[in-house]
Amino acid sequence: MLAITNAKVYPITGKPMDGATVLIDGGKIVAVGRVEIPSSAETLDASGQYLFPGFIDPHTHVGLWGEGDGHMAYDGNEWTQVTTPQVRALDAINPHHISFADARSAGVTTVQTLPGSGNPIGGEMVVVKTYGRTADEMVLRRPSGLKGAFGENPKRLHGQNNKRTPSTRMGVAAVIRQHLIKAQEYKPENGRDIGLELTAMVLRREIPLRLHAHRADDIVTAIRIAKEFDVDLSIEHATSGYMIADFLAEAGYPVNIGPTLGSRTKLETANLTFRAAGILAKAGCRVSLITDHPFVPLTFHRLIGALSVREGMSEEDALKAMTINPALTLGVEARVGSIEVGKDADLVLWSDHPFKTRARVLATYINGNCVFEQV
Amino acid sequence: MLAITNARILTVSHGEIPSGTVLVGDDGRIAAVGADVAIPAGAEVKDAGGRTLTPGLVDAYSHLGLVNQGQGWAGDDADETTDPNVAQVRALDGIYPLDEGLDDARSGGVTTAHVSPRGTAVVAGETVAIKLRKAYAADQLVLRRPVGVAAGLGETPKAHFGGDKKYPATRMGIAAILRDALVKAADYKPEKARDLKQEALLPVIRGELPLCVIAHRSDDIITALRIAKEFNLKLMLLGCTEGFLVADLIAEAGALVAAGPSLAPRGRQEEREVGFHLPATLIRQGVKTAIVSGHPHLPAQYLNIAAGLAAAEGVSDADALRAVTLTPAEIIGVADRVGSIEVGKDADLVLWDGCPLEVMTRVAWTMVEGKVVYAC
Repeated sequence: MLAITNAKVYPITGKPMDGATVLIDGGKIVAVGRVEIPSSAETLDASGQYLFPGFIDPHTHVGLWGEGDGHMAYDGNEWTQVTTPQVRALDAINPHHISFADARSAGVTTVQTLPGSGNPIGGEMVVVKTYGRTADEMVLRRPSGLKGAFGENPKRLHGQNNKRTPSTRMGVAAVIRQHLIKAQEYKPENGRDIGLELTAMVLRREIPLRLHAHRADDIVTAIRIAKEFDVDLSIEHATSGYMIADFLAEAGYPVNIGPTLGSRTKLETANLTFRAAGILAKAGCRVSLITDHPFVPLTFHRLIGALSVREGMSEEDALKAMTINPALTLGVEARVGSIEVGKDADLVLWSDHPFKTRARVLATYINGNCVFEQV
Repeated sequence: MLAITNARILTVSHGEIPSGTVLVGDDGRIAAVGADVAIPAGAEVKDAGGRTLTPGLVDAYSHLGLVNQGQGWAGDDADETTDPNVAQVRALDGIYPLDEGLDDARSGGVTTAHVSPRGTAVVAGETVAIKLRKAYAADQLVLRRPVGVAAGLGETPKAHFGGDKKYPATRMGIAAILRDALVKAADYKPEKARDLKQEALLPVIRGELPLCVIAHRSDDIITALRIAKEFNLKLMLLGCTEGFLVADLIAEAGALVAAGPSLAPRGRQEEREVGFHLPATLIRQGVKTAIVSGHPHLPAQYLNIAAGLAAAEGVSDADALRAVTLTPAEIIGVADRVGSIEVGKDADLVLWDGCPLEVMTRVAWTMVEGKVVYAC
């Protein structure tokens, strides 16, 4: 049993509390607030420090995308086929990859990690905690969605580089539709297909389709298809989503915005701005912030919240967009995303508010275990 | 005459003035700075409201205007990759003054930038220092031309040329091409036939302008030091990711360093050690070190945040601010004009609504030569 005492506690689902105690036992949060500390508890005095729930990034390639590791370490896109629902991020995760250490030292304790956006249908996604010896023991939810992609990446990878369908946005939409129809007609008794099994879960609304869409028209196409097939959807990137904020809010699908701490490298990111998250939150969308690690390194995860606030988002909305909102969008809100009794003890002790430039993570806890400590 | 009053002035060259005035002449230069400056009759007054005034930021390594925002391939002119020696190309000819990247940079308080070709070619072309004036012709932006000649070592030329089964495919080949280019330029006889490729390297060979070497791995940095010594060159290192491993040797050689970007992914193998330990170590070692954006690698508007993150790694606030103002101005040879708030220098000024090293701080306005080029 561990009692973290005297910290400024940000539960997220409630108001910040000065000098509060969080009691941890068996990997769970067992008490929060003015708490009688049992004599058996180890005590950590966190006076002057800030305690937040572990941050959650719902869109990353942690563990499966090489970073300065050379070609052989890149396992992001199974680009040899156009639709690859049969591939699983889990099978490419290297728990010892430096990106997990980056996550822990940046106070990020849960990530969804996913195949890249080269294929219109890219594969199975998984939600993992950022500490563990094997990928399997890190899993928080699997499968957590089916990745798909609109826009420039599939056009370039297949149409331009490999001279095959799709080479246009029309082609991308057609490939995705045809794939969903194939899954509708799938009969396991005629031969098992592990890819279509996953897509069938999407059609039964057990997991969402999570679609890469930057440009506003790609977002609209994603919503059109989700409605046609009556499936759940999360919109990934949505960097131009703020231009159709009312439309998005009315559609009601969650949006995972980013990567924004970068430049407008592609045509489809031409409208990139840190104002986006605040505009969409104000319009009523459930907004989560993403780094798309390694494209924005998780080391700088806190900056995407700070810059969203600088450009108009409320601090409360920004913190939600890094904690409870992604937990909801990933379907893991019963376990993580806030400091509440009964949730996993995924906690981060900061030297200062994480939106301050000089703030440092002092310690990161996952399931009550200290997995990073500032030396 | 313009008077900016009631400002907390961080001069960079002469410390802080808790509450003071800056007078800007009609020539766009700073006419007076101080706590007690008499405001001439008829001067326009701009009340800073107690906010913080710094010199405009200077970015010692960028591709501003060469890689246009949101244009993809069509707007990328940073890299003439068709030959390993393209000394004859000039950054000036690729700069698009209407690129949104320049507006972004102004919004982050950047007023001067060193613009370099990317360095996929081993000898990559002439670099230029620009002012982020509001202008529509690249020539109207020029502050100093040329600043130096860019060169690229390591993985980028190796992957590009070697990947196409062309020379160079190794670091040995890259060094040989660089030496050959310098030898050829030294032997150049213009009276036989004028050759822009050789001409561009002449000021470098004479030691008048630096060779600006983009190098990341420590052995590539050492190769740059070796070749500079062989040919008695002035050396500026750009990028310099593993420079912290050989900081003493860089200091000993007297090389200038445009370090970073450190707020960046570990893209290539040679960049795997990326981080703010780089500027922290170099500055501690006494190397003349600028903190840079490498725009668009890190968009230039986040240069102040990069300086802040260096401060978080132990660089003093004053040194961190100097590393994005006066030091880069010295490195690119324009410190007589920019980099600090001093009488006679250009009135390139930024007003911040808080500490310029804080991520949440906004720029209220950015001024180049007395003219506001961005206002919040």
